[in-house]
Amino acid sequence: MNAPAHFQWSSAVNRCRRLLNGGVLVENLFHHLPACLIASIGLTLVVLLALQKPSWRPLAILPLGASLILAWQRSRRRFFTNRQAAAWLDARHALHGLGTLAQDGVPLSAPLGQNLARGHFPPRLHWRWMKLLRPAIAPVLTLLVLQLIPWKTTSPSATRSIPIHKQIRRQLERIQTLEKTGLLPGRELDGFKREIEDLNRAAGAYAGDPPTLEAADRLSEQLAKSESNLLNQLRSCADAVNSLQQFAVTGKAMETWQSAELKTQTAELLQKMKDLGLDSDPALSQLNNKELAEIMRAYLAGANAELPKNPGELQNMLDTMRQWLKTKADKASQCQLGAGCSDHFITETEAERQALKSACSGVSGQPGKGGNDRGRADAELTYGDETRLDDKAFQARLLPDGASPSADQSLTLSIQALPPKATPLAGAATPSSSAAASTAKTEGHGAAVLLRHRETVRRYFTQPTPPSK
Amino acid sequence: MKFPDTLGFDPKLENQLILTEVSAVMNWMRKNSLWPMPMGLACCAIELMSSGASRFDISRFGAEVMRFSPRQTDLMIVAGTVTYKMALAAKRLYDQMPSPKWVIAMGACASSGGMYRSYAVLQGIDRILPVDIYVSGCPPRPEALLEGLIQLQKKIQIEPSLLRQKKADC
Repeated sequence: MNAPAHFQWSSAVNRCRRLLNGGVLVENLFHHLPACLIASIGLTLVVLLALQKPSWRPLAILPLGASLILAWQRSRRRFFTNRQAAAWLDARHALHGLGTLAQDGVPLSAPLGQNLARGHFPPRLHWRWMKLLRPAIAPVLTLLVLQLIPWKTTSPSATRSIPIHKQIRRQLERIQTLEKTGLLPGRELDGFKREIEDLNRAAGAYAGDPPTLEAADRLSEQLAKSESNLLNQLRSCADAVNSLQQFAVTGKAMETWQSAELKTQTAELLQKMKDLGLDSDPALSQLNNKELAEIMRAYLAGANAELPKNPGELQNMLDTMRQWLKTKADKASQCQLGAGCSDHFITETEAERQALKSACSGVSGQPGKGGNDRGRADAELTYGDETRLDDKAFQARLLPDGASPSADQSLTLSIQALPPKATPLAGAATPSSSAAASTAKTEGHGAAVLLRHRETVRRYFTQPTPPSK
Repeated sequence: MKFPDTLGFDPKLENQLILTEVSAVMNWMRKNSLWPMPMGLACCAIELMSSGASRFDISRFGAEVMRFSPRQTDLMIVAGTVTYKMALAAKRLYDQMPSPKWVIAMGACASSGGMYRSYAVLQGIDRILPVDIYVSGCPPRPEALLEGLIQLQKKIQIEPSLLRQKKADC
């Protein structure tokens, strides 16, 4: 007679076999020395990586996986089959061979089948390795908790200031580059060279002392300021040329061409171009536009500069100015001063110009107007080799919501048409009014205060009243 | 006189020998002569000033010579809220400090951004600088800063200064 249908013998044996094989695997994992060592190293690595290098945490799975493979290799021959598991159940639960018979498909009589059904399934396993696993509970729990803790980012390593000789060499290279491109006036360059000589002398006598390093910093700042001023001049000139060109293109207000405001703008533009190096005969003779050269010569001579009244001539002159400024901006780009500063001169149409202006409004403002990219003296923040900024630290990111109260949680006390009027507090009586003071004391005692504050309030109100002046 | 742990002193010897290491002596000198740079950025700086005044007297621990030039300091005390705009300057100033150098993050804002979970505030100066000591509080009292300074001195005393120097040179 077959066993009762409700008793799932095969699933019980399968489960028993899986448990037994798991035990074999874990036992080998902890008894096999190499596997045990690798597993320990893996656990230590997981903890260390969780603390120090969170991004490398997935790598910790490698030693753990290696230890598991070793344990698997060792325990593969010892794995239980279904028949062995059934035999184990026979021995463990005193089934007297019923389990093996059922596994072999031998039909059992009804009483025997009922006995089998009354057996204790699933079996309670008392493994040796349960004791061995106990020490692993703490590290596993620790790991789980570590995963839940939001670790701060690790601190960057310490940096070191640049040696003075390297700093001097770097500043000298900057000065030589500026000199090669001819963007700065000669007197300014001479001043920088004298500074370099002084620095060299000081570095030879007192290598790396603080005052010498401070002098090198100062020179670096001055260079950055000069470069920044140069870029600002170029940008400002470009804007002025663009605004003048609007008049030339539209032909608007030709009758107001000689107005005082326009004259001032023209004078400012010519002054800036003079500062940029258009103040010598060789530079002026290189210009293709004779009108512009004459205007500039007249301005340098101190005479009033007047723009040509013919729109065509004016257009030609402005084109020459743009060309000259673009040449300067290209040189500045070659020196890596303000990358992309020649963008001011590339745009041809007004729409493109406005789009560029709106796009760069946060980046390129007028000098002295401020802005979030402006550092000391409008100079770009410069860094040396020692700075290895972690870009991630400065990346904008969305922070999780804070505990800011929402409008739904607020309570409207009253809505008034007029602004609120200050009313004297009930307890704030004048010192001279003793009756009111006593009322305030009574009200203070009667006010609803927290239990732990009551004693403090009582002591406060029972203090003797200071005499009024 | 109490000697540091790394100094060996045996009074039984007639000549009163002191056995020590070079690095221990160097650390002993360094820890008792810290030159702080007060990177005061917010209200914590008021407590920092108080630490330097006569009541709390930071000079008892040899750190009263505050200098505002990074070239002349070896300890940066970041006191206050560090905005992203100021963080760049703080990083630059730290780079300009000569080695060996240490950093104290004073207060909640410098340590973790504090209550300013804002797009403009750096969430802890340790994102850009290697911080040695964190002083809790909002703002911390001067005693807390002095305790942080003492902890830093202990740290300096036991650190392998020569190795640190070598590492920095590399």
